[in-house]
Amino acid sequence: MSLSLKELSNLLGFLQEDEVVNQQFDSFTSALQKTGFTKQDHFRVGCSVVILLQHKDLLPGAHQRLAAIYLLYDMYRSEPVSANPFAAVFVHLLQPSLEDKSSPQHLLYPAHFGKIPPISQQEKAFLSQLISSPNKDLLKKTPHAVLSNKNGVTDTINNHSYDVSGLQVSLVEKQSQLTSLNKAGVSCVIASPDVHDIATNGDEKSSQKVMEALLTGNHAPSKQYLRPAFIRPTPPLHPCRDELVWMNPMDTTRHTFMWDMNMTQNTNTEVKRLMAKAFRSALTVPQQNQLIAELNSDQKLVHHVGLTPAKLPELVENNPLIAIEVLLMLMQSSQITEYFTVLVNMEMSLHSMEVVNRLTTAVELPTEFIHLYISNCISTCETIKDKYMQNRLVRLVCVFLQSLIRNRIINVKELFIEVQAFCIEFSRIREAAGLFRLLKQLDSGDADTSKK
Amino acid sequence: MSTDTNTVKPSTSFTEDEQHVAGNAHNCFRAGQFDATLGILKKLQKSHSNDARLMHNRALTEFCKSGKTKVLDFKKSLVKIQKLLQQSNKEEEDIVLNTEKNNYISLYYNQALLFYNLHQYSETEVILGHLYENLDGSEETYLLKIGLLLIDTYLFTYNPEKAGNLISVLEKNFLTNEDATKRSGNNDEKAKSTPTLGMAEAESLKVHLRYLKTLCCLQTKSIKSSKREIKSLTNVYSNSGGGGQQTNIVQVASVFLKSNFECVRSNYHKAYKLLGASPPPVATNVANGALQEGISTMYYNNLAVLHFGMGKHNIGSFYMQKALQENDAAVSSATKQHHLNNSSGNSRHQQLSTAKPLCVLNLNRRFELAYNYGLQLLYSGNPAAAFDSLLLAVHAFHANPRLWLRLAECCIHKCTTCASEGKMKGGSHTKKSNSAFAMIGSGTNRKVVINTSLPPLGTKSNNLTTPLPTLEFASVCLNNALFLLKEAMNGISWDTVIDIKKNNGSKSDEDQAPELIIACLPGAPLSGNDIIHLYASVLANNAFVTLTLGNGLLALEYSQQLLSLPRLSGCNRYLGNMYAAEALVSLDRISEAIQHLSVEKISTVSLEIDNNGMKSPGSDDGSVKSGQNNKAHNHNHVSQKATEFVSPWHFPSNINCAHGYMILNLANAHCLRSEHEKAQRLLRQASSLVSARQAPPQALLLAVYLNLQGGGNGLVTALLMLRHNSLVVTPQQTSFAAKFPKLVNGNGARPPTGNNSSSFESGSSGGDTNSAAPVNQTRLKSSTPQPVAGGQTPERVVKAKNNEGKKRNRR
Repeated sequence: MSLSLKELSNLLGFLQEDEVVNQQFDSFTSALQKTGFTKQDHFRVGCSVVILLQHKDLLPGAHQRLAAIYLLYDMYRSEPVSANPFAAVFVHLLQPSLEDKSSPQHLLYPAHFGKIPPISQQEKAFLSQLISSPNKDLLKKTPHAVLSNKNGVTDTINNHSYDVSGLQVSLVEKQSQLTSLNKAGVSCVIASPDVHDIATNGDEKSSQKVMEALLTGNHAPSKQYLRPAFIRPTPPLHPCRDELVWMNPMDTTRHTFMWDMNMTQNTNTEVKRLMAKAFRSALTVPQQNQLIAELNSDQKLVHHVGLTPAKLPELVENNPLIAIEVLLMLMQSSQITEYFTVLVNMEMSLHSMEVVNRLTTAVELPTEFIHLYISNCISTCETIKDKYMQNRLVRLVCVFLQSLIRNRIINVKELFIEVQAFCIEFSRIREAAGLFRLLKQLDSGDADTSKK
Repeated sequence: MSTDTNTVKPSTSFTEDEQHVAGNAHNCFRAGQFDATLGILKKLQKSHSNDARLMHNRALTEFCKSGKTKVLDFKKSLVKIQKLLQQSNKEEEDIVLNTEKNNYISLYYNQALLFYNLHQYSETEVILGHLYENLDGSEETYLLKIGLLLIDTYLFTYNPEKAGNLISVLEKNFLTNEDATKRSGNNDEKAKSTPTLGMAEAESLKVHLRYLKTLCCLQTKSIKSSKREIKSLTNVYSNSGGGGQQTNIVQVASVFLKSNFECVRSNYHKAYKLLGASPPPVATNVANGALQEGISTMYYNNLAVLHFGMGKHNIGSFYMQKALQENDAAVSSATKQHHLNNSSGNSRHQQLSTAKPLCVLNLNRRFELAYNYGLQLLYSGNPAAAFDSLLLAVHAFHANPRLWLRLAECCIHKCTTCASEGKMKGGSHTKKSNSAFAMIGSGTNRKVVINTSLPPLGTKSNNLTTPLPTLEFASVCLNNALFLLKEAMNGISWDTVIDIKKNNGSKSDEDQAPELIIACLPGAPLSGNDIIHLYASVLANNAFVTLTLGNGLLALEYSQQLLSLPRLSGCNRYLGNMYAAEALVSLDRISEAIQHLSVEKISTVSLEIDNNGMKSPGSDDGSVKSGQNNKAHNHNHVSQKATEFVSPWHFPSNINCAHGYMILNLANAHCLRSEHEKAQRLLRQASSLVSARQAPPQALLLAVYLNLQGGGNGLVTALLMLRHNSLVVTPQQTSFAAKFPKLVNGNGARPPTGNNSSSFESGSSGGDTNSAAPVNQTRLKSSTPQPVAGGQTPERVVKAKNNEGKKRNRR
């Protein structure tokens, strides 16, 4: 928004007091163009002109000032006045000024910061005519003619105020779209004349210098404005807790690369592969046979096929036959209790029951295990929501229990109450009633034997 | 033999001959005769070109032959073999693949170890985790190897619980004969099942596991158990004090542990004493030189950590620098050493002398050090250097949200401090000490130009992602941090985050719910309150940055998010309100902004989360106190800098000051609504809260602005304020004001008529009594903010100015 040094001297040359005195207003446009300012520069020029107007000491000549005011108008002549970015200046100048008479010391100590000093009545008359109804005659005048027009004074003194309300309204409308923050800016240049400094007082060169300082450069004061600025504290550093890395020596010598010892061993990858498949889906009969045959061929193989207690349920569900075989092979290992625990706690199903049933017939299982399994079955039956499934499961459990009892794998006495309650609860199911009868029978039989 | 699998499996089975040859190959490999091994393997491959194991062993041999320098080649060939295996199993499902992996334990273990040595612990963890899960009970040597590596990995990724579990598994499996003496019950069968280890081996494993256990305890910060573990460990060490070299390292390690323990308890001085007692170790033995030099890096690093804890960030960064130097030295000397050892046999390797062998890569801890160093620099007030250092670290730890926040903090602090420094020096054309205004010209043309524009914080850079310490980049960093945090939380509500923490706090170590833990490698992970605190800090910083970059809408969004968090530190609550207010003002919603600026809401600006203030973990000898001192120190450190020059952006050091700033902003807001008198009143209130030295430039500008808006009288006051850089114009400063009468009428000060003896002041007061009041004086008096003494000045000046006007009594 600032001017370059050359532009400034061009502008000042253009506004020379002796230059403008007798120049017709309508020749300004072309003169301005001649000095090298194009349409794009107009706003920058206008801003600078406003600052010059605000500080009377920088633009002392009356003709100069009038010319400058006209310049503000002229640069945007093609548009309606309300679109002129400097319309506010006109409104301000045409305000009836009370201090016209009271403060003759204006030049020396401007009491009103940032305001353009008031203009004379002749100027006002000219300006108001200019913005309301410009005509050719008006533009044919020269600044000198306007200022020396004593007749106009008498005219205008009568109608002291000029009607700028229309312009004002449109300005307010325009400004209402701006945020108050944007409207709050004021010039940051304050006149602070030093009268004591007589040497430079009113010096042409000094004012030139000041204008350069004010209007040119990257951070020219003309570009800046003063407005309330919020305090925006920087967030303090996030507290540092446990963030730094403490280093302790680590013994990395323990970690060495491994030679694959199984190289050229004709390993049982096929078995492992089948086993891995068995965890996922039911194997075909030949596959099952193959797997069981391979496992049987090498007793230790079962430890190396990737079976872990956690995977047993999958195997049971998908391939109960293989699960039985494998569990039988694992009976001697130290892990078998873990396998049993998993088996007991897995969801009750036909397959798991089948596995347990077969196991009970094949080997002697720990009684706690069987008891736990039965309680598990019973509670599953009781809690299941689906009626159909419940009936199915109850039947299964009953048959299972009957076979256990008949085979004397469990001692009914230890589970009597639990099983009895189970039978009563599901007495509507035939198998349960059968089991109940069996229980009674056994009970009475026991009683008989004890009597004898 | 297989019926339905159509895989490209090893075509032919191996003959007994070949098996014998393979055994030879292994022997050669163990003896280090890699060329011979390679020869055998090549021969074998002729008949079995597609055998994965052969390929693997060949790759391994080639890798070892290169002195473990061809890391990349090895990595590539391992991946290639894996792909081959995967291809052959293409139609199989995942679970099959996972178990399949266990057919090639060596392959995957080696890959994991490779990742481990390259510090890529998360990859290591994944691979080993799979292997470990699918291990069947029999493979005990594998179990030990995998277990030990996995424990180390867990320790590096701060998973002390998992590591602890694994340690006990290993102890159960391999050290039961030790326990058997105590529990004579079922030792027989178990002793039988663990014949894999000899006595000496078991003994060293036991010590090693103890050591790892101690590290676990230190990571969980359970003071009691780490104390116990350290004690028993030192006992073990002193008992087993055998060979010279070994004990040296053991001693160093135990010293480190003890010091670490004290550090965990925030007893930094004690820790320092312990650590200082261990001399910076010198390489005593050539063979173990690398390890030793690694230790000296760690020594300096730990020293730096301690100093950081004590709040001595400058010393800390000095030691960090030293640690970095040591690290570089260690790396280069270890590389040299390695090649010296290797090339003695084979001249070909001399060409490769720049390639770093794997053990050296493992030794190199540059990124962790860079992380530590960056933090130290940031805290010692050197954000530019910190930025560079952290930028290096972010290459390795880009998933750490806290690191991204730190980077952003570097940018922000770089920009704010630089700008204020620039402002300090930049007032070149004024030569005045204060930079609030500049004088231009002389004589009647003299102008005062108020220095309105705060120095620009953001430099416009087109490329947002260029890593430069700019605010734009800060915004990128903060968005990364936010993204990482959100992803980690993955829809979990704050309540659950905190509740879990609360429950855990009440029921100590019990794990009842999966706690949300956000990993922040290389530092400790976050949980509970720490997460919320980090989240809040990220939001606060983001609000600051977006506000500064001019995006009020986004800034409002962030600050509102910040304020809606269920727990906030006083500091963040304060910032949230301040930023929200400013953002609202920039959106022209001033009345909403004013609601944010109520001082009553802010009772503290401490960095701690207000409720449930977590203390530093248990300490017995007043270490909490030292911890607090540190915090106070940190704070002082910041405010110390601030006293030199009040940056427009500095954070208020105490609650009064913070209130003052808030009231100033409130005054700003009212001023924008043209409620100038209210603004004046608030300004006065604020200036009573903020000491003159802490007053930010904005306050002065506001005061000047208000006075300028006030009219003629205020203009003088404004000039006085500018000249004295003070919100309050005191009688002492009237010497300047006294010049104004001269300026105006040129005939000097009026004769003193008052009862004061001091010339200027009496002159003024005397003048007041009998000289004219300006037309607008009454209005001005009410609107100027001058408290007490300052009130005289403008009046007198105005009076003097108007002394040519009509004289009348002052009422």
